Amino acid sequence: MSTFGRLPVVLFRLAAFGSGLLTIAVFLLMLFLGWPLLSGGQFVHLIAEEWSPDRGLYGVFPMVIGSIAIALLALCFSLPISLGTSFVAATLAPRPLRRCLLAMVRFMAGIPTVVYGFVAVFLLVPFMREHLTGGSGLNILTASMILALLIAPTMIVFFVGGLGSVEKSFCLAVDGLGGTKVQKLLYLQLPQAWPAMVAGVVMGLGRAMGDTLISLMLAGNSVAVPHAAIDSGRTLTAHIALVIAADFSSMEFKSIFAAGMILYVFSSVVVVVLRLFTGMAMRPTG
Amino acid sequence: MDDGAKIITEKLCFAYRKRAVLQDIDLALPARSIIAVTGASGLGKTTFLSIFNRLWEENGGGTCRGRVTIRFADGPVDIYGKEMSVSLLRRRVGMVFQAPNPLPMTVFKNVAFPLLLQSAKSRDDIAEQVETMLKKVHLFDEVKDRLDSDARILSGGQQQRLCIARALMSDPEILLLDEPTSSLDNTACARIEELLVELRKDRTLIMVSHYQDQVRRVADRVFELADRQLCRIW
Repeated sequence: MSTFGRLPVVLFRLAAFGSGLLTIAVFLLMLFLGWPLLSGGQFVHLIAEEWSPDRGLYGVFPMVIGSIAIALLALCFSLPISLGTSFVAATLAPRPLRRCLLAMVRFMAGIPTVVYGFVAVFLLVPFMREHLTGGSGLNILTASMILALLIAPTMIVFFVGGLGSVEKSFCLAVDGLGGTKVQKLLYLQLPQAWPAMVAGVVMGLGRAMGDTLISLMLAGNSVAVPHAAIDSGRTLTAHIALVIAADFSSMEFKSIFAAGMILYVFSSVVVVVLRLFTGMAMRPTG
Repeated sequence: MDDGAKIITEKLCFAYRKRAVLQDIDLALPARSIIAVTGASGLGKTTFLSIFNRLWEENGGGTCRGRVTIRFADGPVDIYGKEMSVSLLRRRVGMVFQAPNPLPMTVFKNVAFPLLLQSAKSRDDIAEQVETMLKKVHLFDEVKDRLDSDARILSGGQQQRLCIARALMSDPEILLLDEPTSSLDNTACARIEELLVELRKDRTLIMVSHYQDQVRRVADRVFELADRQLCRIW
């Protein structure tokens, strides 16, 4: 191969290597900046303790709980919506309607997060306040409902891609045997698209965990440990955004690196566990 | 209308994206026979087959006009009539494709798949029927120890016989075969031909084939597709 021919290959490999390196570098940077906490033995306290700077407590435990609660609740709301929409968009609806539906889903994915937040502040929050949760209407339930809408397009795109990637000859075989669209979906497409469906869930969960604006605008940002879905809560991302303006050398500031590391490790663990689970599910049994 | 015919087409026209493929075709195809359709590539032989189980509708872009009547055991049916269920039609008009297309599951599950679609039968009944059908296509002895293996590990000829067994599982009165031996070697081809001749005893088979020798060996009636018309050769 000529030098000119090799150039794209080298560039692509560099890009792949660079993105992998960047992922590791981000973690190492957080580790470096959070090292004073780690080496001083304060990291465990930070994870387990509450947040009360007046009493010298800088723990992010309430934020860990807030993040997990909001992300999982959002996933619970979003999963049925995403599954239903993807079934219709991939198989059940007539062709023109499928195209229209997918175009709308992709459009939804492109709407900035802050727009969802604004719409929720003016429409959903007053509704929740007056009819459902009472209080300010800013709570974990409100945030997770909007977050569910936000992550749905990502999941739908993954699901539809997975369901649509099933080999055409398989689909034709089921059609030829008199399988209905629902049977084709249940007996062929879903078992085949399983890894893509899991990848969609992982991406959705990752997006829910990583989103800052929605939880910042709608969750209420209370630093107390939430005990119910209608309690106000603060996520790790919102906490980082709120604290970042503090003095660079303060303990308060340093704690956000712990929050970042927890977020990073948590996301990685979720991805690894789900990948292992998918690997086990896909292993042939016969 | 021909009284002894199994399939009758009247003024059958088919167009794909406004390009006429078949024009005013009137046919009366006899029951319990092998009807072969030959012709150059790209003229619409596969499309012609897919008219009888309405499989062309899955791809979109086609328009079918005219009337197609099939005389099933329980009476004649206009297969493009409003009350006709496409799923039901396809269970009564089976199809075997050009390339073997076993589903990504075990040999057993592939053959049992039509029963799963009909959501009937007990587990024992299914096992018995699978065995019967595999014996019918002379495949049982070759795969009896591999029933739980992925069907895609079988040879091409075995896969195609598996697909025929699968198509026969819902006991169709008509079997459509789209060049069923085109991807097979001579030995596998001969076994499929023997099988087709056996199946003719109680079924109507419509087969697309490029091989003149094969057509001569197995077909009872031969048509050639040319200029959007089907001409009977013998």
